[in-house]
Amino acid sequence: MANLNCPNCGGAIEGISPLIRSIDCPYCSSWLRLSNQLWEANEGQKAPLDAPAFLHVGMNGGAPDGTYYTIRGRLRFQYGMGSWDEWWMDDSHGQSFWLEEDDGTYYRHSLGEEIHIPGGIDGVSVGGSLRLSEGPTLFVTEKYQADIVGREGMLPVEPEAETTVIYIDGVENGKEYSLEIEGEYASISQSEEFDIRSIKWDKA
Amino acid sequence: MKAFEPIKVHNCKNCGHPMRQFNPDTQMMVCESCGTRFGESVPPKYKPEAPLNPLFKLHELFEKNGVTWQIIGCQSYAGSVEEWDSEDKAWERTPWSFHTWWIINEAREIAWISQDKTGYSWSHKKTVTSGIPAGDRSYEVGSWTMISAVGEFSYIPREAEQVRSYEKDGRSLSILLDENGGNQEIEAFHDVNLDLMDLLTSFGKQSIVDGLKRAKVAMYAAFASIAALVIGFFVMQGFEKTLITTPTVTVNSQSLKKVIPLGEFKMENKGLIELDFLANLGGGNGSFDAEVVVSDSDKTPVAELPLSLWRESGRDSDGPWTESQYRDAPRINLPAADVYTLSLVPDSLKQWRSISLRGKVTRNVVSLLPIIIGGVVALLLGLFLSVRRRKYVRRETGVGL
Repeated sequence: MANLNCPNCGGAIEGISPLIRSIDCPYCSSWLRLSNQLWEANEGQKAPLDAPAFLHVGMNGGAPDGTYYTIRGRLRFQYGMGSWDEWWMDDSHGQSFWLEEDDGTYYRHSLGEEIHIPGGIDGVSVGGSLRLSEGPTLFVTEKYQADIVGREGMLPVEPEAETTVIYIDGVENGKEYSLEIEGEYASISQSEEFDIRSIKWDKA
Repeated sequence: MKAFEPIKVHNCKNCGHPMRQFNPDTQMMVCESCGTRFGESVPPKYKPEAPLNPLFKLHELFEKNGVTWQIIGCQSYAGSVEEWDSEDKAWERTPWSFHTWWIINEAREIAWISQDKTGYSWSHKKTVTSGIPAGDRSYEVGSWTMISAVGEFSYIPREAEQVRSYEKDGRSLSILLDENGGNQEIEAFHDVNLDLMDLLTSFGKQSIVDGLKRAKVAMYAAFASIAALVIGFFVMQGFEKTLITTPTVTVNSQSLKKVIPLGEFKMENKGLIELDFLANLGGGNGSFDAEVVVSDSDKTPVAELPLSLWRESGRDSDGPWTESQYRDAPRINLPAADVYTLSLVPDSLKQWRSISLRGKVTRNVVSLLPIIIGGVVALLLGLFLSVRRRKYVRRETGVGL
């Protein structure tokens, strides 16, 4: 974990993992992005969140198996039917992962892997199947376009304001997968339900 | 239970009613007062309303397994369910409707209580594990149109949105359809039937639960008493004591008006005895009438009991019929302990040439009639309590047991 002094206000920001690519400065709210291994403060890139949630950036909690979790950042997505949050978390085993929150149900995602989808996803429809040459054949349960409408904390990505993503959710043999699509390429991650209620969260 | 704090309060643009938002992911709110959707200022032509429910209403809190939940919205759907009828070899369609109550807990988890006329079930999202089981005859297939939505929802329900569902073994696949009838989103749910008593307890209606429990205990006691009566009857029969078994005697026309001694028996206390006579009737129709005489040790008759045995047969529109009485078992109370003499005085023997019969005298005899009366009363009481309890449950929960 690295430490950083905000290039804008000089405030000390601690506990930055090597995966982190953008940070909301907790002191001056500058939007810090890693550029050529240097942290730069960006103006006009703020995406304030006006969506209270049960989880908060900075929360810590211990699970019954002794694993300790810290919430580092949050992205909020909006799609045609609603919205969801994705929380960037570290655990005490040195692993980081995305935790998706959807209607109060939480899913832990594996880190995404880049795959190629020849021909793209134009012909893919909900209820149909998507055969991935480098992965599973998915039964498609959702296909939407979503906008990133808010962010906070430390994130392993550098989302531009109002970034739009196309995603597909699907299942194979009871395992859930999410794909974020860019043309003929996608980042695929597997997700599994995460029992957030078993974690004893510190009072933030 | 401490009420949840709303994260925001929006005043309805039409009526000013404060719409309290509890779910941070809420995308749509429908004013429970006038039915106007959030962001709109004109109420709909038909005001959506949460259904009247005797158990709970919008924004009510309840506790389940130590977790406090709050009801935040309700959607009502109408449509039909299709089930495969293996006898008719066709899909059988049944009109149906249900309500889906949105609930949220302190951890902002969402679940749903589904209510239809058969009861309540608890639903939560699960991973989709299969494709769309179209045509699979083991599923119940539902086609639904949303007819009402009140409260807050984490998606934007279209007016009259269409949903198709496939349900089997407590798991359901729900497909939200788009405006063109295509699949828009597929979700899976796990449904668990909710016990009405647990539900009443969850909503703090403990006095009703206690009353229903008492009624249930009384009902079971009434039904159990039937079994107790039957068992008691057989146990009492074990205390019956045969005092004398008479020899088989044959009666013919020569025996009429003559005293036929049957033997003696001793009573150690006064009490009820049964004189049970079983005859081997002659062939064809006939009748036999006699007096059974019980005399005390002074040779004084203390009882003269009529004995009547007969057989009749004939033919009517239903065909030939036969009725007979080949057994007679009169009862008497003997007034004192004594040695009694039993004798038979035949009065008449018609159509038969002879009749042979034997008998026995039994004391501590158990009467079946009070057992039957007691059993019927207990059964009626049990049924009455059961019906009353069901009506009570229906009144308090909106559904039957």
